[in-house]
Amino acid sequence: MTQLALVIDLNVCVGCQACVTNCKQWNNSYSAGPLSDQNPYDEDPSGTFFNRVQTYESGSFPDAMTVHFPKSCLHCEDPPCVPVCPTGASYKREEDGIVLVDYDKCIGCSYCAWACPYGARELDEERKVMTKCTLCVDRIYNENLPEDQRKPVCVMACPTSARLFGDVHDPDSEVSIAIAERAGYALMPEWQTQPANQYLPHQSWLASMTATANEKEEV
Amino acid sequence: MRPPWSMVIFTVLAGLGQGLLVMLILEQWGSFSSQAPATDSLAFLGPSMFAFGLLFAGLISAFFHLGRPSRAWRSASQWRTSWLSREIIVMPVVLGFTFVHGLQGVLGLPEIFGPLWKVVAPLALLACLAMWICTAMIYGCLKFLQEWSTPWTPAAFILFGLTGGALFFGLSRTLLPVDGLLVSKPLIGLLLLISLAVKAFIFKRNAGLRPKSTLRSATGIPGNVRQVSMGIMGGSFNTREFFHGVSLSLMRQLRPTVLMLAFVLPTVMLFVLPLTPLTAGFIALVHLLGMVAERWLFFAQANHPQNLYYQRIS
Repeated sequence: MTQLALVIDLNVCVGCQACVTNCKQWNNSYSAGPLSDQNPYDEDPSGTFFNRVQTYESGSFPDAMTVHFPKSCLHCEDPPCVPVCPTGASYKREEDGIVLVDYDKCIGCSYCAWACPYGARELDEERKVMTKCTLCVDRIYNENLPEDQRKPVCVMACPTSARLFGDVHDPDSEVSIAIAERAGYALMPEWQTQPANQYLPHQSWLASMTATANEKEEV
Repeated sequence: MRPPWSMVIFTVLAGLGQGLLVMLILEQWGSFSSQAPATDSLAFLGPSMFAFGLLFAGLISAFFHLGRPSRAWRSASQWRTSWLSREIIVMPVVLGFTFVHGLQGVLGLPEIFGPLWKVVAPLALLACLAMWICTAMIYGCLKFLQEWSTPWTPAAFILFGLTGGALFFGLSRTLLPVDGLLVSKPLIGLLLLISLAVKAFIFKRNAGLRPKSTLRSATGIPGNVRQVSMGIMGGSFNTREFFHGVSLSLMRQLRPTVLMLAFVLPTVMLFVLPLTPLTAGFIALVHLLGMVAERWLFFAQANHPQNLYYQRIS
């Protein structure tokens, strides 16, 4: 069974926000949109986004580092947001594992957003329905696009190739190899949601990650 | 979490309505008080209509929670997996039973309703219990909301509903007397005190919780991680929906306020004040205010792990 997903390489993300703006542009314009904005040119601008890039710092001088951290729906293998939906608007596709919202069935109760530990879903304030990353489902199978462009638009936009896209259930795919060879990890593994999207750690963390893993084994 | 007022009002009013219906059924069964159930039609109909009003007001309030209320009919479809869907199915059943209960008072046909009610009453009790469980499990099933994910959540919803129902039932009997109150007064006091103990215990439990998710597990970044940017200039759904925006000191003050208003003061007043329509109304109002504060705090106290990604808000 196919499980499409993104793999984010934290080694090379430079925090340029190109994936954020391209995601917004594509999904605002096509089948997932419009993604409304509130006060876009005013004080307190706000709006609906499927993808955001946050920035963190770790360590202390002179070994401090800045980490840019892209954040979108992780398309969990066991998505807690899906079973709670009272209308069936929230669903996970059998054929490729993408978690989607049927805007025509959504009643805007926000229960699925409460049920997502990652805060991956956003209620569109204007349309009053829940929205989320679609993995650009309207691009990846789109026969009107040249074949090399049938990828999520965030992946296309990334100037450093920090975003990989593919089937994590296929052991020979680019994403599966990246996860296996470069110690890909899931966010909040403690809730057993089995996120399909994974993150590739910065090379400098690998030593500390192995140390923690060994400690856990010893315990 | 940011407490949605529509949900605060819905859960408080509907919970009370169910409690009141349970008390009315028990009274009618005669297993509750030694006195015969109210035969005077106003004494019978008054509390019954009040229970229906509470449930109906709750239902209306719940609609305000929806972004697209006109599609609400769709929400009964996922009862296999969603507690919210189950609640939406049970709610009209409870309303229906409350209506039938009131109908007995209007029509006054004991020869028809008598045997019928013997069958309907246990079903109505079951429906009330099911609805409390559904309402509570909507919150209780979210395992990463550690304040909610405990058997104490359904236990508290059932207990507080019964307590409020018993109190309102007792007080309504002072307005429309059938001597029921004298019998049930110690029982109401006992329920209030058990509720007080349970709520105090839940506060203590929540205060001692250690969050399973950390910024480390949320991002995978080792070392002393701190957030520099949330990836937004202004606010977003994430910064609005999951933060209550109230100071920590006010949150702390709210805990004893809840215990006082919802449970302690009503108990004291119940036994100390001469029960007139005016004082009964006052006691009911104090308890209701206390329960609204209790439910507001129930939502506000829940710490959503997504807030880890928005460190610069709280």
